[in-house]
Amino acid sequence: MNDTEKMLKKLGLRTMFDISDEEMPALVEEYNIFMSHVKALEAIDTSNVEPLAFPYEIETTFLREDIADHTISREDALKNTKCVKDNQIKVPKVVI
Amino acid sequence: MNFEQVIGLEVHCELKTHSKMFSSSPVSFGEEPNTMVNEIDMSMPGTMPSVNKRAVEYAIRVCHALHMDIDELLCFDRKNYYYADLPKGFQITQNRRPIGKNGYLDIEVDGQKHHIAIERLHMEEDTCKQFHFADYSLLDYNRAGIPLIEIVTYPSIRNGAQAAAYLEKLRQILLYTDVSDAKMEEGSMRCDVNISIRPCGSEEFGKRTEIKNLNSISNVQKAIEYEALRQEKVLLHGDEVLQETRRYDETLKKTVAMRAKGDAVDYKYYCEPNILPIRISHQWVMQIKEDLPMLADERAQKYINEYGISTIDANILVASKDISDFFEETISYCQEYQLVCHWLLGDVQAYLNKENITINETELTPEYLGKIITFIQNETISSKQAKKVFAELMHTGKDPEKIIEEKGMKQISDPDTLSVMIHEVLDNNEQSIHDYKAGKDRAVGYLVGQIMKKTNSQANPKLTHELLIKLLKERISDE
Amino acid sequence: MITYSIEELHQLFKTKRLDPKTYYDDLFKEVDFQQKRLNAFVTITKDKCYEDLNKADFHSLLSGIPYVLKDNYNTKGILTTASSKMLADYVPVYDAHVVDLLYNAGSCLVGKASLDELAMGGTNKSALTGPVFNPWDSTRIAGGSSGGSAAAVASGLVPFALGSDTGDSIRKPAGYCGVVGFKPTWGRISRYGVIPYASSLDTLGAFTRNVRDMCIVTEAIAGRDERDMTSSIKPVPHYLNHLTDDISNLKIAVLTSVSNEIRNPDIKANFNEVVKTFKKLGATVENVTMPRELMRTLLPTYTIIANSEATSNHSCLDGIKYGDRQEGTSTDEVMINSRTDGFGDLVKRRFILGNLALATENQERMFRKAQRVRRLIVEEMNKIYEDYDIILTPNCGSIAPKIDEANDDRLSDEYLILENHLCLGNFAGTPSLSLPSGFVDGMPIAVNIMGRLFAEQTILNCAYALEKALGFANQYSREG
Repeated sequence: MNDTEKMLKKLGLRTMFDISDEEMPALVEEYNIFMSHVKALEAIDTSNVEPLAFPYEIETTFLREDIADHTISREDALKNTKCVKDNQIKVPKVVI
Repeated sequence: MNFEQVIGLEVHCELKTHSKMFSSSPVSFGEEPNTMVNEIDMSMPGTMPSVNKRAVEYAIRVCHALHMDIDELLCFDRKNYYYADLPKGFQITQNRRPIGKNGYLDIEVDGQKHHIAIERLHMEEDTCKQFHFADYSLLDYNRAGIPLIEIVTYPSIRNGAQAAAYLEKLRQILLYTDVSDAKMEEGSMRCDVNISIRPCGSEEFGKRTEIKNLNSISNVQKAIEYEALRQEKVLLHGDEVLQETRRYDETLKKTVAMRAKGDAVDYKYYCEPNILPIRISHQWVMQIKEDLPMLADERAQKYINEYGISTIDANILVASKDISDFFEETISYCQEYQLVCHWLLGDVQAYLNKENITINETELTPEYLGKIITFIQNETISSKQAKKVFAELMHTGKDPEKIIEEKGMKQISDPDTLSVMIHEVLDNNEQSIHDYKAGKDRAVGYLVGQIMKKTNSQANPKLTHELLIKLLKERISDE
Repeated sequence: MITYSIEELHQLFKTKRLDPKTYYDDLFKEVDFQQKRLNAFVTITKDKCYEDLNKADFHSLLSGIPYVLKDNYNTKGILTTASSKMLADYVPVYDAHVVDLLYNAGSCLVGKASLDELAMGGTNKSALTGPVFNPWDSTRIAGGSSGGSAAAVASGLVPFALGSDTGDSIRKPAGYCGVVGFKPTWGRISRYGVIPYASSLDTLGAFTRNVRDMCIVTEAIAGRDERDMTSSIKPVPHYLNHLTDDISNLKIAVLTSVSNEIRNPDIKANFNEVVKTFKKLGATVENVTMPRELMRTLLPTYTIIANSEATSNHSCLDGIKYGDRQEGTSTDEVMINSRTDGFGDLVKRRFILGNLALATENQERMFRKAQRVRRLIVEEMNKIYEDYDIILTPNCGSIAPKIDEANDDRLSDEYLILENHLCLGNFAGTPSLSLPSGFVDGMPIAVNIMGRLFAEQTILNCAYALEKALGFANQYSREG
């Protein structure tokens, strides 16, 4: 594995993916395209330009009133869970 | 070499709103697992957050109490990491622009005042609760999404005692502003400690460790004291302090390494794209300041200046908000401020200590306490009787008035009735009259005892004494 | 089975000239047939549809009208997969806001339509259930990511379908399939309950076969919802009541930075014809440009922002609470195994690269840089909107590609600008509508009409006028 592959393998694990050797070449290829995108942006002068996080500058004044009026049943809460014990979601022991 | 400790505290506090930070499911404690949730708390795909107004109000209250600058544009960010207790895979928090900045809290340790500078206060949401078993863990989402505020000090604390004093004071503020239960044992208030040491006089910071898992203020102090010594030993041994996260082990009374900072997670903070910046009105912020409940220090001042209570007693009264609240309510029934104070700090506190409960868990109400004191004052019962009434009340929860009536404790304070009875006693104790005449004061005590016996202790002691002397003198001059 | 518009079907049901039960029986026969041909559906919701129909009173325009949802709209009790293995058996316990609205309007859900996995693509080839074929030529793609919704409308099964659009995911397939596709203003429609792609770009919208139907559907699903704090409190106009084909006062900007990129002569001729038509209709039509170096950053800016937001948005898909769960010895392992198994290769790659751009050490150079460039692009667009009501462009540079030629990663200049310019509307959050404008090699092509924020009515009017002049309303293809 070269450095890029090692980096991508590690980045994959940080994104909770175990990237297989078969998947690696396509990932490297897409990584190269992605880095060319990064380079394309570097060509643009953005000094004194603030990031735009929303499509347009907008503020709201809305805050939700503090009313507790919506719960779902426990049955519904756990309906799509694969592993349930004592009405809770069961996972391997979490190491503290 | 002498070392100086450099300590910063991060306090998380659950807010006692009705609904969660970003969803309208209830905030609860001790309910059946996964019954206080909705699709947002479980982070079901497609759900979106909406910000709780009261949580913002509570955060602003605490900001005011900590003398902070308040940002009137609320911005939220995502803190991205994967963890079993984090339903969304990110936590919504305020990274770039905390609602509160640059505050302080003045504390006092051994008569010396310290100014603790506070860097920031921000709003965020709690994670789900994990229960750990031998070989698995269970997840309960009832806690997921409960509003939290995090209060971060500058590294301006210098020892464990200061840290404890700061936490006590902060806890008091959280209670007096009425935003949280602030119970460290139950996790509604949590504290992480950042600590490093450096040679005295040095301006540079040493390598620091973070201590987690501290479930009481006294443990925070103990952990700091242990950790400072540990770091000192490491340095004196010529080693380096590792930048790592440690936890306090209560049974070992030691801090134990959890994980090294080297593999620290990158939180990849960025602007939460589903919450637009929220403009809160300056008028609202000021209104919250105006409506801020009176804090402990202010209450103590009021007790001293307006009620004539001693500084020591006033400070003890406000040390517990329960007791202070009880005091305030009791004096609406009975304006004997000092008596109310003495009762609360005396008999009532003794009872609470003995039973190991809080005042709100007893049968005592401000109205009943007010009645007892009023009955003492208007001489319906004696102080001695009052203690009996109090004991009975704590046992049965009965109205003091009813207890007095049932037990026939009402004092005889009618001079005519008393005079008749005193005469009867004097008639039967000629010798005592002689003794009195001979200047033996003991005789008075004996006679009072006889009168009490005759009246089943219901005779008003003060009046009895007065009348007895008067009648004795009459008899002597008659002779 | 005859294909009707919403207004026609409404009249027929209301006046009892058409028996709803018979109509729906025929409809589901045709659905089965088209499904075999086009593979547009993940789930056909026949039982639910008849339940909806029983409730319909046919009084309002959408009551009793059949429709299709993209399979990233949460539907309570009905499988919602987002075309991902991760959610292959996921049955939501709540409805998306707009699903509630359509239910209350009495519309009848025919099925959940296929999409690119998690809406991340433009070909619909990454769907768990396989590609969706173009109704006009089943050797070609319908486009993506809302491919199933586009095909359902373009095959004449339903008069409308809902989709979602992050870069062009409604408008591109609409163009390929010869139907109307509309992405209104960001904030016009609540996104609550729709599985996201990239929140700052995502917009919901509809496919219809004519502009009048688009007015009806858009009005029905637009409006404030307190569960989506980004949804606008601006009142929703009565688009249909205010619809006019008089566009003589409109100022239209032809964005030549895009249209000059057209290489296909037939598409070029068609576009010129559209420009001429607008002039004939009395509108002021002038050429405008945007800086070329900025136009070349459209795809990079989009890729970085969209993938970064997507990786965060989909961190909840970890196998713990719902979805594909693969066991492991630690919780981390469960998450890694579940996510590794549950997502397709392309999605995995994009999440990883999104994570790269968000990493604190890269964020300034990548994600935040893209957000800054986004601002520059939006500022350029706003300059045009100072003088013009509408920005006109070709929808794209080609007809729908053949299945095996369609690809999500091409890098020529033409591809960079002509194939990606529709994301301009997502960057700025401005409304953007694709309208059929003709045929090339027997396949439909389209133009795109963009307007100012919340100027949905202006766009609908402009599209209505063009639709009348060109005559491509209500087209569909059952064979081919």
